[in-house]
Amino acid sequence: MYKFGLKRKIKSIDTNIESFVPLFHNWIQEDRIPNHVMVDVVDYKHIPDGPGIMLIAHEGHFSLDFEDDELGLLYIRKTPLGDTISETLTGIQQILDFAVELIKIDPSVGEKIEFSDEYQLLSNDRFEFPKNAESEKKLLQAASGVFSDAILSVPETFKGSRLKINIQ
Amino acid sequence: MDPWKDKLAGQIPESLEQEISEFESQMEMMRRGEIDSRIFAETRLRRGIYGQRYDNGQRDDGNRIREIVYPSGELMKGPDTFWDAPGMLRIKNPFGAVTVDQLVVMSDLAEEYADGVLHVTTRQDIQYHYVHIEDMPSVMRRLGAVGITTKEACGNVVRNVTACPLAGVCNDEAFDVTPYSAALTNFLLGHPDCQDFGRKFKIAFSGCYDHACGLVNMHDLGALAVTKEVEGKVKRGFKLFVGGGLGAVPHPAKIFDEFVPEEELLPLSQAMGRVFARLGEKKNRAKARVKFLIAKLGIEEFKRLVLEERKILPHDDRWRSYLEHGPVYDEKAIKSPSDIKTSSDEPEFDHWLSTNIYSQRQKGYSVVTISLPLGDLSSHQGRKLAHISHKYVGDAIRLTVEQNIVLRWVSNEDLPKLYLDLNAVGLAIPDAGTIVDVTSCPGTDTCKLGIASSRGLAGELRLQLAQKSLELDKAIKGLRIKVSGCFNSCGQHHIADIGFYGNSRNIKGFKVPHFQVVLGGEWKNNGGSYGMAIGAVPSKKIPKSVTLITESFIKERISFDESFQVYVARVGKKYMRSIIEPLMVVPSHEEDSSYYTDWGDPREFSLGDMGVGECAGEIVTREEFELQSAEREVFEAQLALEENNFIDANDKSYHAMLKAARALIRIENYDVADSPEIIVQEFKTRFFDNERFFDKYAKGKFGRYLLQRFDEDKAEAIEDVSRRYVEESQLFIEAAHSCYARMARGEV
Repeated sequence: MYKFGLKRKIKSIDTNIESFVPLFHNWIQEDRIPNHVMVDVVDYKHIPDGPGIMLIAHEGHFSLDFEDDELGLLYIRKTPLGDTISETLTGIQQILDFAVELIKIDPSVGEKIEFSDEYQLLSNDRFEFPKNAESEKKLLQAASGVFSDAILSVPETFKGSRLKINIQ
Repeated sequence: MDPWKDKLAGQIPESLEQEISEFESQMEMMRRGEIDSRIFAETRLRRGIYGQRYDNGQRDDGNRIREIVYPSGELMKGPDTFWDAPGMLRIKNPFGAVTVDQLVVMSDLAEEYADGVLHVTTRQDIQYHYVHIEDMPSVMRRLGAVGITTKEACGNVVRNVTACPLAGVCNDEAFDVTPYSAALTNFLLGHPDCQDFGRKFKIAFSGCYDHACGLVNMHDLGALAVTKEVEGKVKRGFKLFVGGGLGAVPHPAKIFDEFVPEEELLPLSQAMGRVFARLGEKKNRAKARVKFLIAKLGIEEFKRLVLEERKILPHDDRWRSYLEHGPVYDEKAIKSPSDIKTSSDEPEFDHWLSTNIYSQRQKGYSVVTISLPLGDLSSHQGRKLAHISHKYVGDAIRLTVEQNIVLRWVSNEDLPKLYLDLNAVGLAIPDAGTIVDVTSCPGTDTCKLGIASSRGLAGELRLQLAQKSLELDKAIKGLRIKVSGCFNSCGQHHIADIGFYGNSRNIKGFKVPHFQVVLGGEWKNNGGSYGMAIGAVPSKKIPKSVTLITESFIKERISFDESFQVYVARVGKKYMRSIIEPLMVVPSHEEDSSYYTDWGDPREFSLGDMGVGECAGEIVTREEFELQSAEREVFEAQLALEENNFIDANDKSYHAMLKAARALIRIENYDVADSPEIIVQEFKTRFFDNERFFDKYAKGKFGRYLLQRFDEDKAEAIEDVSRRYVEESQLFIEAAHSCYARMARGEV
């Protein structure tokens, strides 16, 4: 199983991130994310450099994340999604983009938030992808197949952090 | 198959790897329906794996109660607890000690398997939430590789042993309690005498009486360091407290002995475990803590029984071995001592310096408190904090019962640089140990028993108080606020100056979250006295109640020396209630619906999410546990057989029979040695020769399987033989279960 996360970066936001608490609750009430057993909403906005507001689902968590001061909507997959890395990445991107679209059309926050076209891919698995040159190469190769029109780069991250790839 | 098993082979202590493998077998048995869900629940609890809110498959989404359909369908991991439901993992950190490597790994695991957050608890543990049970073996192995176990973090066993986070550097302590708490932790972990409790057993150490830190007065067993002059020499020992506890009805501890010599600490604790296991309540969960046994027997009788038990304990070298070279905890400064710069041109630094620094007994060093809002630390912060710790103090890191982290042995001249480094990762938050530093249990966020949002309230209080921190009167700033989501007191509201616990009120058909206000508890003197409840206030009005209460205190105290406790006692409960009474009025839903939701939760408030808590564990007798362990071993023998590993199949099937036989023998001969010769002899005498083990129809057939197996020189490792052994072992264990049931019914 491949465990990845994908973050869609946010260019600007003109609302308190607390607005996402009722928004995520609404997603649960209206079953807005297909194929997800949604469980609860967690407010971690008091943690600087943390996961912000989270929607917990069995298959994966969504969060309005501000790790390393980079605000974005992050989707972390927790259960298998495909047999190959490409299938998994494609699936994750589809789920994340679907969630982004939901936010864009939400009457409470849709007009107050602007997403950029940039993504950040992260490997949430230190077994399959320990942070080293070999993993970096493997992940870049897989990501370039899925994000074929994008420019991929490996950002500098703190020692021990998960392996990340910026996708522009 | 856990991919980390091979990768970490050799890095995990053998016994721990064995236990994790056993747990994997039990998981497989549960998947196949071959183990009672009650036994599996207590088994996982004893590995730190706890249920959490919504694991019963239902949730009130604000509009209706919804069924949560987890992918594994009806597969359960305990009574009313779905297999795939989110779970909590509690990590034991004895006396709160954490190394740099451990902090890194705990941070990594939080983001890989949980929600990216490490929660520091009020008992110096770390908790993860929203972990899949299938991931637990990987998590446990990775923790094991850095010397951490989750064993007995939950369940009816000895929980994490806590201790004052200043132990060893404190200015007031009699001596450093760290090595004693470490020795007692290791000694009681998995100890056979502590496996048959009706409820959990909590132990705490403190180095001095006056200052809170260890909170010995509110523990099942509290050990307070004291010294005594004996024949001209200073002798170390402990004033032992027993039967303290918070919970719905708090019990202050009783003094067991004014001075227990250090060499008696371990055996006396063991004897206490035996008495509690033997005489403690097992059926009524609400009366099963040791405090109720002591209340029933009286402290003198309890003490007599413990001392009698002590006399007959089989000798154990471990009682004193840790004392042989002097009890020492190896923690050293990595920097030289230096002078402190007491003020600067940076008001924020000065503010932090005034509240988050403790000058150590060792000149030139300080303890720095890292204040964690709601006890939360993100994975990214955790890794960065590990790096900072490595740079300034090495492994001298401890978690505190106030849900903070302390770095010990900071050379004073490093304080400005340390402040900057911490500030860069959002960890230089001032006001540690003040009214701003609110403690909270998980409450409705994740706890199945939570009634109101303790974390939501604590977060709001913290936010409001932090904004006016610099303007607060010193007497107010020195107060402590603690919040629990229900009456069970995990947030320790009873020992706060101002405590709150969640409840609910019905107003014209609607439910309104409330908090009971508890005033005048004492954090000092090791949780010396408990507060008094003065009335329930709607949750949304609690911040205002804090303002009114603290303002009254400042205006009405008769001198600057009058403490909050003295003030509350002097003016009385009725008067204090009159202060908050105007806040108790709840407008109708039409007038103001905000009262009908909780902090940080837009859903209409309800109690529909509550479930059956696992705090009390499952009542599973020692015999049931041991017979289950035998079953697990024969299950592993079957797996070995399937893999054509006949040697393993033979060994495991034989050990399984021995285990089952020993479980029965221990009912009558508790200390029977764990050797095949003795077990078989005892089994023959006590159960076979007198036909107590005999089946109504098969007579002695199943019992003979063990006797014959013992007499065989060496088992042949071929399929036919192995298969027969496994089958015989299975039948023997079934017969042992039947025999145990007949014994329980008093038939044999």
